[in-house]
Amino acid sequence: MSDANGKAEGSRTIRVDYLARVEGEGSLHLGIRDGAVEDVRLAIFEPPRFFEALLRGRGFGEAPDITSRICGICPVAYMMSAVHAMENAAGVSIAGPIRDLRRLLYCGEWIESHVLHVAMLHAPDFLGYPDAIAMARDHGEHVRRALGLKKAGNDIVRLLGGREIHPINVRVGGFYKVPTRRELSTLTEPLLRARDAARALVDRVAAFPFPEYEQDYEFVALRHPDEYPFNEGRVVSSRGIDIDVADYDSVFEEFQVPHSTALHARIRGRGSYLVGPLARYALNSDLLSPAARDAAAAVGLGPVCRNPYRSILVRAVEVLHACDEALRLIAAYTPPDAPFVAVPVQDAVGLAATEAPRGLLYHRYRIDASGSILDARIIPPTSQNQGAIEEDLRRVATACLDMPDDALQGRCEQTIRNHDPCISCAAHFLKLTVERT
Amino acid sequence: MAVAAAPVVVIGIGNRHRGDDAAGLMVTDRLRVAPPTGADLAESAGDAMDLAALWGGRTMAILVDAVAAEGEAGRVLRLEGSDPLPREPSTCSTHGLGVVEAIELARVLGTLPSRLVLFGITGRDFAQGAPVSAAVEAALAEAEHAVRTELRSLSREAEDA
Repeated sequence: MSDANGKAEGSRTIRVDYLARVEGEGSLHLGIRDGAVEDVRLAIFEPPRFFEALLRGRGFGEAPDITSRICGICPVAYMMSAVHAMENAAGVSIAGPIRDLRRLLYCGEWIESHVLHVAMLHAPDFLGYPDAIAMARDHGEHVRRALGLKKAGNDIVRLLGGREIHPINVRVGGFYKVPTRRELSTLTEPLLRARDAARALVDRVAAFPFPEYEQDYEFVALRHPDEYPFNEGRVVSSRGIDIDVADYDSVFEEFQVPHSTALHARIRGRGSYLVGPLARYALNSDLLSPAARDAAAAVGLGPVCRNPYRSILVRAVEVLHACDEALRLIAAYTPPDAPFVAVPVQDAVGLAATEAPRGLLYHRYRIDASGSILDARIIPPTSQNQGAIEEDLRRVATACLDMPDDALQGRCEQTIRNHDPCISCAAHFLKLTVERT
Repeated sequence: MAVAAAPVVVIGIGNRHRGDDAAGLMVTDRLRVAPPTGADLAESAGDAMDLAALWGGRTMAILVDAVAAEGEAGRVLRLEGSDPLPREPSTCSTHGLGVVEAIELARVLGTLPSRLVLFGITGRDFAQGAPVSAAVEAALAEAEHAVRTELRSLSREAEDA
């Protein structure tokens, strides 16, 4: 929604009161003077939610359930980073079927989250529709297939997590209850259909018109020797960072900017970086399932993609990978002897990073000998990406200054949605103001 | 989430931590005390895909939700799925696709239940952590009665058919 207000001669203001199809409360200000972009501010005015303070004094076993409430779209990521951090504090490493079930749960979340974004929130930008409903009038089959595909992800999260949103079955050390082989096998048929739908989604998305644009991001993601990353790995970057998660704070730092209530993040002494699908893919594409790798090659993705508009295509490839990985894990599943491993309490610091759908999610906790959390720090992907999003906007707006205001505004919104920002609050809208003087 | 196969589902929609937005959920709480026969009770945060899954395959869905409307808080409005719905962009959905979008999307895709009724309770304060306003609290009994009446009416129609 927008309205144009004429101002003084040579000055125009475009105001967008609501930008749908993004998560959270925020605004964008573009200051354009004499034909040049002077000021770009992606301002997040989401009220502080105080989760880190809320965690102080709570038992270490409560962290997964509390932090899952940070986000209704990627609660599994919060739970997984929390359980891994607490297990890290205790010196416990979980292997075998429990680890596999965690990966399976993550597959479900990636499918849910990515399909929602790819098919319903981002696709209208490329197909020229204001929203998914208008798109569905002409592309009903696309939407129906997407709903079916997303349901396959929901089914995984519901079976393992107890419900589709904000799962309740995850605990430090494992799960409260694990499925039988028979229960898990009920997911196989829907996932086989989902895999076909995911492959078709890759082809469909590949045919979208992508603006020509590349950005020389420093990509940051987890890297595991054998697996496309969900739960663990070293933190690596496209410019040579290769560290244990324990060294995260020595390489990355958060900082405050006046225009946003959310902290930004940067690589110390270097600047912004990008986490999320483009980064994961650039640093791990060799570890995709064979079908996902083939699909990526068939649509011309190459081993690294620096065009953020094509992130929608990488997400579709990751959906296909998640379907394949889920099927592999289900086929190999043997229930563990116990649904969880006892995790002893000790005075320690625990930290972990996992790969949320939107990118690397870092948790760090200090707990005392009684298991109480003394302090907590949580760095979500969108905080880490804010700088890179602003840089994208600066370059895109500069390249598109000749566009009419409506088109420029649409391109800026699309550019933000490339990164699927998750500002994660109960009321969601983004206010965009473009000022030309 | 209720997934039983009753032909009718009553879905309370809202957020218990945002003042009057809890109204829909509080109505299903009241219904749960003496559950209506032949209908499932469910709750939702209002996400379009969640709603589509809840009403998928049902012959009728009754939605109960707080609504922001001009005028006094605590009024109970009744809308049919065939009525035109306001299409302001969603500002209250965690996914940018909310209740109205869910209905419109299902209408476009031909997956709406053959009957859909939305009871809206006009709210006043949707701030985070706010209490439910007295006006909305006072309207819950009326909304519950309206839902039960709708279900009885539906039941009679089914018997007559």
